[in-house]
Amino acid sequence: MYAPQTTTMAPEPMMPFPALITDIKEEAPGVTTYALEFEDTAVRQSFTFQPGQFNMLYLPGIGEAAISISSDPGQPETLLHTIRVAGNVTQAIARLDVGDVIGLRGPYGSAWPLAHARGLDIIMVAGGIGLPPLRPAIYHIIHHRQEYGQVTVLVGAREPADLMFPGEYDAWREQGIEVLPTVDRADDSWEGRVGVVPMLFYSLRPDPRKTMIFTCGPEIMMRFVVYEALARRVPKERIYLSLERNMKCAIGFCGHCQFGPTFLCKEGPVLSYNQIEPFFSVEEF
Amino acid sequence: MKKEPVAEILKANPWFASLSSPHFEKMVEIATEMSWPAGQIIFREGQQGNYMYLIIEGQVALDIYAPNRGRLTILTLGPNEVFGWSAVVPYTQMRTAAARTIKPTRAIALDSAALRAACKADHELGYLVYRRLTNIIAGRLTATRLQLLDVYGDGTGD
Repeated sequence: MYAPQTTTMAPEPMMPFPALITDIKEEAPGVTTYALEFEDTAVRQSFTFQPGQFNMLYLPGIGEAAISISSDPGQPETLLHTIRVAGNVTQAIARLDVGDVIGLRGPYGSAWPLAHARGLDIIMVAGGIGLPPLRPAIYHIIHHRQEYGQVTVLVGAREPADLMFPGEYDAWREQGIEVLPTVDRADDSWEGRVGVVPMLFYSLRPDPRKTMIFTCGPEIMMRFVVYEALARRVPKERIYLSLERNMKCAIGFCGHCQFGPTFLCKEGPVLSYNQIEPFFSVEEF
Repeated sequence: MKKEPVAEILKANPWFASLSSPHFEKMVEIATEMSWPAGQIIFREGQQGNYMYLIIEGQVALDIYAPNRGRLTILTLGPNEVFGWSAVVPYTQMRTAAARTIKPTRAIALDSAALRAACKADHELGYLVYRRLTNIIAGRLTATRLQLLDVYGDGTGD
């Protein structure tokens, strides 16, 4: 296994550092969480990230993929990345084992506006693989629970087996976070909710004067989340989405991730709805 | 489950609470509290509907039976959500899905014939009721479209 040659933090933003895979956990069919630790102690100890940011994971000869960090920002020495197999790089990562080394550079991009959300109620809406980028924000809120109002996490998936991190929901509930999972389809063994995740808004009564929305998931789902939030008069500037495009350089140079006037790798992935509204429903975008 | 007067229950709901006093009284007049244990069939697909329901507590599944596939749950509903709207829509008036309780459930049942008659007699009330129903049905239509799209299958490669 190739390991990029460096032992100190380089100032070059395109420089990956070798990171050891210390654990692998299957979360759902086709979705796996990899625990990574920088091999270089100085890099490992100095690395910090904000909830919502992503790293670039690098396999020589194959390429890089932008993957959100799904772990606790309070424990940045072990970085979790929850990955769905979707292309060449993620297919190659799926063939790796504990003890293999991968290139990692980051963190990049904008974060969930947790400082701005202090004192407010937060509704997080996650669909499918959209929960991993929100999980660091959930951990942050748990660590600073008294700073936030009512926190509700709406989680959607196609089927019960596709739900992300179901084993953690009770622990989150014990910390005063309401967690409402739903699936698009289920057999009789499922006793939870059935229906698309934006429908869960109908069982909530958010106060638009003090509610902030964080959403991440398939873009069509997020569009419907925006509709439901706006119908409940939540202001556009308090609806935040995590958008993903074809991120390549991650530093706003190459333009592959351009979304209207915005480079999502640099100004995103987390953006408020009023920043992107003119382009959000444009078909070609 | 605790027992409360119907008027108290309706007052706790923002839409009912926003009604004028005569309209609210009319709603109380045609409303009945009902409750069911878990696993109870409230109505079956194809039956004529006599009531529209507002869930107070519990959880209800809407099922459609398909040949060779059995019972398919298409939607579940919880507190503050409405089911059985087909009973007050002239086009349908029969149940378009079966309703089954998943948890012990308490609901307010609105007599559909009395509600239609009240709306016909008082068009202002009729406007408010059918505007609310339109919003509910629009929400269901939008959700059904999203369900049909199967958005989680939209895998994009790296």
